[in-house]
Amino acid sequence: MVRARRRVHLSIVVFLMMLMGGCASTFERPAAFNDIALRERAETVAGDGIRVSAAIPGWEESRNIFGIDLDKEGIQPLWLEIENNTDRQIRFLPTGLDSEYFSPLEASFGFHKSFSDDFNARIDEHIEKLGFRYLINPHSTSSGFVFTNKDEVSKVVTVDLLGRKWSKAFTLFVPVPDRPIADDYYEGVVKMITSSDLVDVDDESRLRELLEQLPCCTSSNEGVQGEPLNIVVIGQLQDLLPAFGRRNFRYTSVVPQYLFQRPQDFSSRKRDRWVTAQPHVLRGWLTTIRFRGMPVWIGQVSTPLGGRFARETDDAAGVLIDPDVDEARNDLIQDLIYSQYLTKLGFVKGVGRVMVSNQRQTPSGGGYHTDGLRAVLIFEQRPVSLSQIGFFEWERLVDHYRQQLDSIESHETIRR
Amino acid sequence: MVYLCLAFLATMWGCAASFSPRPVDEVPFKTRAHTQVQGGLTVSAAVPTLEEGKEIYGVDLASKGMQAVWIQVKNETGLTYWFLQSGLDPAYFSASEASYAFRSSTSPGVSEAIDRRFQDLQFRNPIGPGATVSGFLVVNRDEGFKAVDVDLISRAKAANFTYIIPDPSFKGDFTLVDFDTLYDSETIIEIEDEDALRSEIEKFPCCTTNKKGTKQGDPLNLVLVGNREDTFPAFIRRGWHGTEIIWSKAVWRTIKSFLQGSRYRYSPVSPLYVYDRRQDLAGQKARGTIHERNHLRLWLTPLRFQGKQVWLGQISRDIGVKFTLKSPTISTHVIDPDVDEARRYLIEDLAYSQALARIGFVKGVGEVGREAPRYNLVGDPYFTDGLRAVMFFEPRPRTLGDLDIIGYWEVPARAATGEKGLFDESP
Repeated sequence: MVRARRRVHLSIVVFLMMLMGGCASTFERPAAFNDIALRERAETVAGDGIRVSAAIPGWEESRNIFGIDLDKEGIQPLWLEIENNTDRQIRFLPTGLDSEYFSPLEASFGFHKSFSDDFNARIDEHIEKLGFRYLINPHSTSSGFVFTNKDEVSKVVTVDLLGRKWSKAFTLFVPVPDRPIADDYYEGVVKMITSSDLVDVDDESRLRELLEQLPCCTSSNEGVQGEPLNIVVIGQLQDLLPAFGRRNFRYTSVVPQYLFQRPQDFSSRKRDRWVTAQPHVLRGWLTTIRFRGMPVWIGQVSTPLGGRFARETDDAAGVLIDPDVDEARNDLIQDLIYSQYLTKLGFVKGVGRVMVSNQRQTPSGGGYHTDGLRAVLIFEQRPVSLSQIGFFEWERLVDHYRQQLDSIESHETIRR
Repeated sequence: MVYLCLAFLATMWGCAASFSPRPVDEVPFKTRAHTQVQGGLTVSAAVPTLEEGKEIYGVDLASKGMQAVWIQVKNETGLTYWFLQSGLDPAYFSASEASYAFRSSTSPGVSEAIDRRFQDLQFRNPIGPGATVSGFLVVNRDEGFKAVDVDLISRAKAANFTYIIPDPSFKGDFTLVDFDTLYDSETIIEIEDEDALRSEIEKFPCCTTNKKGTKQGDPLNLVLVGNREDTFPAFIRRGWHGTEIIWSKAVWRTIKSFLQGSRYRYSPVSPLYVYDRRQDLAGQKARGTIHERNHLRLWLTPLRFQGKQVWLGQISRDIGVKFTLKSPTISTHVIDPDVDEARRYLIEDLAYSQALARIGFVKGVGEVGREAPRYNLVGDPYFTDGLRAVMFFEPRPRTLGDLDIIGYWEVPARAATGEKGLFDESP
């Protein structure tokens, strides 16, 4: 027993020594930080006497500013400037931007060396000096870096500001340098939104008509009918992305499916946090419809068969979806309710009812059944609490639920 | 035949020759159900132990990191309600996904029976007017205690229920202390007035100590005021977890987690002492790896403010791990020397919990400058403005914009500039 414990001690000591690789050297403090370059390309939003600007330094730039390779530790420094032209004192909440952000001394600790107190103290001092000061006094400006977890593609920056019995939120999309895809991607999306031949709708029942006329399903590259388009999302990009982001959805590339002769404009899955996230896959296409000025997207949400328990060997045969596609749709709605951006919810007819007993095939060889509805979700500036969500008086999920259950039961009766 | 049998045994759960779950009503977990009533809604929740879950489902949910929560909603209103599963666990498992984990590649019949069992047991929306609906939701497994948030929405109204349900088989700090008998009625100090509360809090001990009380450790930098059912679910909603008390199994799991950099959520925290006893409750919120987590220790005080419990506590942010002989876990965490940063983080984190109503600051350990830091019991330096944050919890939901600040108490100042602000500010 004692010997076993000693062995554990020993292995830990060895392991620690490996980790530390302790040889002292000096930390070259970089030249004084100059924010001109960042300021020039920063994204900016403003309102109610407050201005927020944000930018992300490139890898080289970051090395020059911090003198250490933060990127190596998965840390993405975000430069933030908040100008407060109001009479109230406000506070920025980094938790709202990234619930797992790093404190300055935590970011620098990863670069400490053993037996090098001098070196360590100098890194600490340098990194801390560059950190953002979260408190912004009336009629003053604060700027500096927040140490966040790394995002690829582009960073959705939610700036939650708090005052006494007061709060306000801003959202910015900050490109990640060194990744050319990011620019293309965002430009592409933005261009589509401003494209011509738009159909502007003001009237709810007209919107319902148009949504019901949209294609039923995605298709494969060869034009074979695929999965049902079961979700419609309406809102400005600056409200949509944080709504999904708040629920941990991140841009993720997935196998393309086609609609309007093009692959999805947007695809997303949830990022794992403490526990592995729900495995839903979301694909979206921008339509030409604008509802009260807001872009209308149509999309498809489904879950791979077996979800988090699918074995790798299962994938080889091609990804099958969980036949109960409505489950993924309903999960997604519930989840987005908690984003506090969802203002209105409703259902319109989509692919039409597909019974359990008569499943429809997808190109990958799987089948699905559904109540045939498509969910319609409108996102606007938050915060919207659970009891403030409005509902379209269109199709009622509850009627279809009953039908669906009836159909399952009658199907089972027949089978027995 | 023999081959089939062997394959079956290998892929399934040991020696049981067939899939034979027990009828739900024969498993006595419902006797532990917690029930709350709001308007015409009566909502009960119960958490089967892992053993009971095994009997009900016929398979070992825990072996796949899952557990079941039982919910019953009796709807005596005129509205149709929907139970939002995401509110209970945003990463919950649908019946088909959960049952897939126990799919047998050799026995389709068993797979189908398991899948049907999961489907039958699951809670099914909606809850129509006059209806009573009950069923299970399969969620990620928590040890110790489960915070169960039940959110119900209809077209006209929403209702929120919160339960905290202990697991009788967990050896957490939480289960060691009987909070109801900790102080007798003569020791309890009832306070109604905010100023009196402030001066009582200033009299609290400054710091944690070692067991003998001869050495001072980390500063006691926070105070929680609230009913238990408002306070603790707020932490759990934000991803805080109880910790196992230090004993061999937990230590071994911690070491494994250390070596693999993996995530053992319940690894123990070392004991610190206040009121001649170790923490009544320890919590942690883990981030990327075991090296990065926030630690929280709480002691129930004899104070009651307007009938609500008052807890004294200490929070620090771990930024790494070092080797030490001063702790029974062999390794110990290096804390962020800027301890006010962790305090500020906690306030913010809880501001998103929907339950934090007010905050204020009172004098605590006193100012410790960064040029002359003090040291905790394992030799980590810290500096601080010396204040303690007092957080008041109320029933949810509350939004960020509702948060109030007691402006006439202490106002934390930034050490470097003397600037005073809403919360505290790192130098």
